[in-house]
Amino acid sequence: MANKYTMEQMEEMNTDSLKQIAKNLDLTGYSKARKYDIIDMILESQGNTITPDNLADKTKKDVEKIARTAGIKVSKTDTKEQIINQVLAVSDPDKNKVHAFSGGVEGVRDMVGNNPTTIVVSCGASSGKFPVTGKTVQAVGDFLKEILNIDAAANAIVNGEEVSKTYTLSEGDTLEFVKRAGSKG
Amino acid sequence: MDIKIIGLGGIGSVLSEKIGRFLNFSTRENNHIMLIDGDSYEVKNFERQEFFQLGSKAEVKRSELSLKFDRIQFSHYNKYVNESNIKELILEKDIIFVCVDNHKTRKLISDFCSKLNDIILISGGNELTDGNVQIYIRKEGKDLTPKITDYHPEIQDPKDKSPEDMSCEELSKSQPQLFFTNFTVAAIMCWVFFKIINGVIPTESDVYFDINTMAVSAKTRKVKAA
Repeated sequence: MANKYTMEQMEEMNTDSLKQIAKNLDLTGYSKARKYDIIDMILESQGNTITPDNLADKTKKDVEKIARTAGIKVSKTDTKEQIINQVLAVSDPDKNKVHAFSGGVEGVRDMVGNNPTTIVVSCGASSGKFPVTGKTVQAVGDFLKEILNIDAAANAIVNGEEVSKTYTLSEGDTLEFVKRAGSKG
Repeated sequence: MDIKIIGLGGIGSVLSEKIGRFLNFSTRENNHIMLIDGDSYEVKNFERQEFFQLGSKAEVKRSELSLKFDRIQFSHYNKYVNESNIKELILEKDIIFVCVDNHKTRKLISDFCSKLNDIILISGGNELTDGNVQIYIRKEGKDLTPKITDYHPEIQDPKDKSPEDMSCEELSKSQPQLFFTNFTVAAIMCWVFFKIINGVIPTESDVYFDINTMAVSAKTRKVKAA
């Protein structure tokens, strides 16, 4: 393979450029795929796919690197296990691989439904379960802004009541970022 | 049952027909629907608004629906809702459908309704491929659901203008809309209406949908203290 593309390089590219790369790699199924799905396909074709099963065998430093590639903000205080959980939250169990970054809600919805520490986070019609217990609303908003299309100025509601961005989420909480009301008619 | 439908564009032109049809063939008696809009149907509206002739939206719709549904008493008001006329249009125990295209009018109606004792307000709006329906219910002087301004600063402090405040140039410029999206808002407003007239007070106060992700989500939020 002449070139190997990194996640960071491809995030800077537009969809047409990514499709051209996919075409050059003789991939199939990319023509109607979304940007981050095409990135996944390319990464996978380059042998960059990481399975959840082998995450535990990696060093904490390597797991952190994978998490950052997946668009996850890693805190210095996070344990290796916590980081793995966050990576698994954006994984696709059917294919048993880790998405470099899930560009849509479908990729992460309900994927960690058996994890008791997950919290339902929503914005407008989009929602998903995420392992964000112990995180602040601000951190969750930053982490999920592209996945759930969260406006930076969106108010946050936990269990039906407005909260500040410094609120720390607990098990059992439900977090909503308020999407603006439709203006037209 | 006294129903006021405010705004007869992409959402209201569809909603008025569906609510009229439902009530006309129900066993409920003494149903009155007032159709309110200061705008006119023009040729350019055919793309996504339902009407059978050009002219005042309120008047055209009243004529059309009166012919279709003879068990309903229809009336019309062919001016925009404003601070001067709102107290004549919105009365205690009304069911108000807000299908307007600006937050300034939504706020005006919401603020007025929040001073009444008994009112049901169902407000819909959309962008190109997504939208939402808000539900405000007030019974015996108490809010049962949040006001439509409570969690929405864009409505509480609207930056847009009501049609009466717009110049002809501003009025002629309109953002692209999709009929399917208008229709979805109208359909969800019908869901809410159906629940309410069957005696169910919704705990949800905001229902969002997104055509692109084919998702619908209803939100339950607490009433804010006065």
